[in-house]
Amino acid sequence: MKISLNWLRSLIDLEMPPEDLSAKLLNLGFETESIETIGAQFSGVVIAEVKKVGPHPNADRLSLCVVSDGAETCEVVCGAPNVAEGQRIALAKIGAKLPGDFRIKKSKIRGAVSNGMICSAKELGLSSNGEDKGILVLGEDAVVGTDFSSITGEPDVVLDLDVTPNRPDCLSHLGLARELAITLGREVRRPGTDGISEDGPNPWPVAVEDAEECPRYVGRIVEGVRVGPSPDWLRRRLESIGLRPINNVVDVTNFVLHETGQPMHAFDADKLAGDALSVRAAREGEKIVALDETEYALSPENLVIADAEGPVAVAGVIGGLETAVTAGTSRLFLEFANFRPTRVRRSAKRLAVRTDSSYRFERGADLGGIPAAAARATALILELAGGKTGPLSDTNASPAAHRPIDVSARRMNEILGSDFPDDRILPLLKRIGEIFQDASGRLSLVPPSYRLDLATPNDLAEEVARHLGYDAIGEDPAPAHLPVPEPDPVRDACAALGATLCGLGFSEAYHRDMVSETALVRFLGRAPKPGDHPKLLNPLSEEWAYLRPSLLIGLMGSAASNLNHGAHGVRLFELGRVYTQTLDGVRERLTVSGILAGPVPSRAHWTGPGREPDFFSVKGAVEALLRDYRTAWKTPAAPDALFHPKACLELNIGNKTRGVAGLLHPSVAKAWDLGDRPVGAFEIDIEELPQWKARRARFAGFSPFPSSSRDLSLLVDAGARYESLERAVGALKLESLDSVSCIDVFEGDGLPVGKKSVTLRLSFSHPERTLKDEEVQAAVAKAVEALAKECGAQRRG
Amino acid sequence: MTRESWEQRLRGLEDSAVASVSGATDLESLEAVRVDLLGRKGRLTGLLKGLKDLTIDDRKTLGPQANRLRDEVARLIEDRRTSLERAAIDAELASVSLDASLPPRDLGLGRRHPITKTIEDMAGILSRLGFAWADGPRVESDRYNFTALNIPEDHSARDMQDTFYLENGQLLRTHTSPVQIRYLEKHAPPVRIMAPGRVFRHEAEDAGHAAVFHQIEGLYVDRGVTMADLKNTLSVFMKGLFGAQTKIRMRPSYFPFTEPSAEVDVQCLLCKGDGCSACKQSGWMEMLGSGVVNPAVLKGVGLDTEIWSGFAFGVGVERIAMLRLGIPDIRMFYENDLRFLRQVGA
Repeated sequence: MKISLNWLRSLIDLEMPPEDLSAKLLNLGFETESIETIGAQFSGVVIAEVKKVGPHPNADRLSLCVVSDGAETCEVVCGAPNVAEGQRIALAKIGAKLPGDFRIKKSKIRGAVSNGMICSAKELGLSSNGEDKGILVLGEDAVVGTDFSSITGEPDVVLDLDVTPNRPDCLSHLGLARELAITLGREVRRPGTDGISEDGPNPWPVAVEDAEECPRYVGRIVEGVRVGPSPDWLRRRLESIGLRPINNVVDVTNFVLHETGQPMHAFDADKLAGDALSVRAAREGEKIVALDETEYALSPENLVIADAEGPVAVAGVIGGLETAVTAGTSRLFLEFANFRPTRVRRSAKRLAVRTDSSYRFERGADLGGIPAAAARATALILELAGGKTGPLSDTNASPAAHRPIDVSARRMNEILGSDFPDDRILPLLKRIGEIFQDASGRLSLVPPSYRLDLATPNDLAEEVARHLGYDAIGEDPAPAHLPVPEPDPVRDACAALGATLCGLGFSEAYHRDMVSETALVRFLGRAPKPGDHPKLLNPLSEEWAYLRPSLLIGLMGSAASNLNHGAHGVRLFELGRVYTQTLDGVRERLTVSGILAGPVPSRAHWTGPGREPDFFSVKGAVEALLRDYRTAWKTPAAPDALFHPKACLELNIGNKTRGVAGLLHPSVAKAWDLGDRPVGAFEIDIEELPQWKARRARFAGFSPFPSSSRDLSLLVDAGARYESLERAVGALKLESLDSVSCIDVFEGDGLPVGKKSVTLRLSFSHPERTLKDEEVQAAVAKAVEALAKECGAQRRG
Repeated sequence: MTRESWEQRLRGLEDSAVASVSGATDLESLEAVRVDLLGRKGRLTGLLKGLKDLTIDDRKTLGPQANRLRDEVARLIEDRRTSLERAAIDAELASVSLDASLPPRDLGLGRRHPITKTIEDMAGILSRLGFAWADGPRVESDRYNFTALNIPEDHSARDMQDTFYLENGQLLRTHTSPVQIRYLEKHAPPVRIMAPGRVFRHEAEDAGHAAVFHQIEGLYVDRGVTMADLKNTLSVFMKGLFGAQTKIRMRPSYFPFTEPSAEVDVQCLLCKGDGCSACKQSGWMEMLGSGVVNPAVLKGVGLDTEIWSGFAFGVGVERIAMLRLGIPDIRMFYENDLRFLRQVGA
């Protein structure tokens, strides 16, 4: 919100420099976005009249104007579309100095001589509005020949303040002056409301359909007004906070809004059908062309002001164009109302319009401040536009009564942990609201009607802290009663998984939880079925349309982009959530996934090239990762489209399939721009991982005697699986057998067609003695027999 | 052999043996010395054999002397052999060419993400201050994200947190504060928790703003918790994070779920309060939002506000990671460029 310092100073004495004011406001909870100096930082600018506007000989967009300041007449080139004959304008003559060290010289613009410049408000540094809407057109009362700097007055400072949503009462110059008055112990000067005699026409009746939606509607008629330009002081006020002056009546309503915070609207009463208004919900199918010249289709969500024919304004949001005040208006209907915040918010949101009015009503305007604001606006209209007014109509049935808040200095200090004395707290609270004392001496505070944010002792404690200073609160902690720490297995598991993966060479990636439809289709290999995947209602862009069903979508993308940036080997993992849609809502699962592409070590190295990952790198990584958990590999019942049909296994943790690991299917790798290389990937649901931790480790001893091993080279069918060999030997439960490992697999030359050679190494030991050769031989013989019987394996050589 | 001549020969061997062992300059000559002294026909062996010609009394006194000499010589020869062998290996190694300054094998360690590291650092401090880790879902209901936190529907406070909605009516949580409600619904006070996690805002991204980012929520509910407690905890937290000299200041702000509310600034970490471009010349950096838990929130979860009060705070993680690591653009955290992770990962 923009605040003019000159305007503020008209309401309260403030001698401090703007920077100090800004610091003071910060300590009260109002942050300053910017401080801007405006006003007459120019010289050599005079008021002149545009005598003639003619075309520029060489440029369609420029015009050649004849201007006169009374003393001399000259030609200037002007580029603004709003220049017109008869206007009073600010002319920067040859030699004039404008803000930004800009000097006006006699110059040729596209071949035409220009003896000066017709200025815009921005060029003169008079407007804080970023947009320049053309030249500054002065009121008809501007006297030609006057030095313009004598009119723009002293320079002003404009502060752009952040006002938090709980303080709508501070969305005006008066509100801020009130706030400063409390802190500085000063008085606010109420703006003048002289000159209203209510001997004019009676107000129109206003029927309010639902008093909850419109707690107060104050109206009045002013007749015989003369609509015209506003005087310079008023235009300057509005321009200083970035508003465009329109005409004296509309300008007054805007001025009083920004002075008092009370939104108001002026209708051209002669354009209203009938002589009564109603405040009601819009009917389906009703439309309105609003002041922004846009037609809006209304719905019962919109509260409207309606005449006999239909809506003439969207209540609290925007007025209608047809009934707006124009140059020809002579009779006004003035509205000073209050609407329910949530209704205005919904209504404005539905139309996608936000106005200074709706912004204030949404946050809550002051019911009690309406008569004063109405008087201020009426007085100014009568002063500037003339006319006669009558009494106010007022629907205010029951003024909203503020409930008294229990208050005591002790309670304030209890909340804050401070020790402010009574004689600092109570005088402060008295400046904020009315203090009452009951028979037993208990104090309570009734806040003024504009302080909608004050309802509890905590609210008052904040007031005390704000005005006496947050710095004045100490740092003494009360004795704490700490809860007993609980074990945190999920957190511990995640930390351990991350550490293991880093040790295995994986770096941690973070991807956003949203993915594009394109990525989802590519991942699924088909269009998503409606309802399968949580979809965003209002994504920021197409890129973020769905919640991810898999971390691999992000990982495949990042692996590809790293490879494209010149990385040779990429190992990335992510610990995060994946999402699926269920009937009960969105299901989130904590998941760990990884991707391996390209050689490790990744960079070319003098010791030789790194190794490309193969299926067994992925399998090994997953086994290392989950070494502490009860897991088992499983051949997928049906191939997973993402993976190579052979190089893929599912992982059981506990009793359920919770993971998959493998090499990406070559066509998937290609689709994700990962090239022809083998790419390993895994994804494991770890939501319930901690409960599948292997039983606590216990030492079981080992034999101090030497172990002996035997290698068995076996000829088996090419399609035979290693796990069946291991199972056949394992089923024997040989007493002295320590381990079975696979030390060689060979297919091809020298072997019969359709066969392969697998070499197992069996290791034996005995806990109490060295095994005899015959014992080992006997065990091996049993193993060979079982392998032949169960797997058709023949021992070679 | 007489006792005298035997003793003379012993003395002679005592004198010469040491010199002949240390005089051997290679393994071959050392072996010759060993054979000469300790071999089957060696001189010391011969002397020991000669003992049998002496009287029993002489044998008793001289025998141990001779045995000592034999052990001593054997040890000297063994030591000499070890050092000659080592010298021979050293001579061989001297000819090996190896440039130890070459780079080592890359064992390929990975890096934790800088956000993980920053969260761990911050959570580590809070953990030492007695805050337990708590968590909640990313996909939330309107109740937990807003209404239970005293942010009613159609209230303008909702403008402070632009929200991503799902088609099913749920939303992506805009802050970690819903964890306050979820935790208080299940745990009786005293409650002292932190809830680090991901949050979402419907905001266009630029170098300083992300639509997906991380916060750490803190909540303490106990008997007689005050604003001063909050100030103390945050002061200690910030000192733990940025160093013992760190200064904080509190200033009024507005959050619907705290009252009084405070924005907390840390004295600029770069200029130490003198004013620089990083702190927009103010000398302070905005760090977190906090306040006394609004009694309306505690009442909503069924707590008696005559007994219980609390404080809460929420701090953004990315900003702190950016400050500490000198990262210029918040979006880099989600690009997963290995060059970035190698520089700022942990």
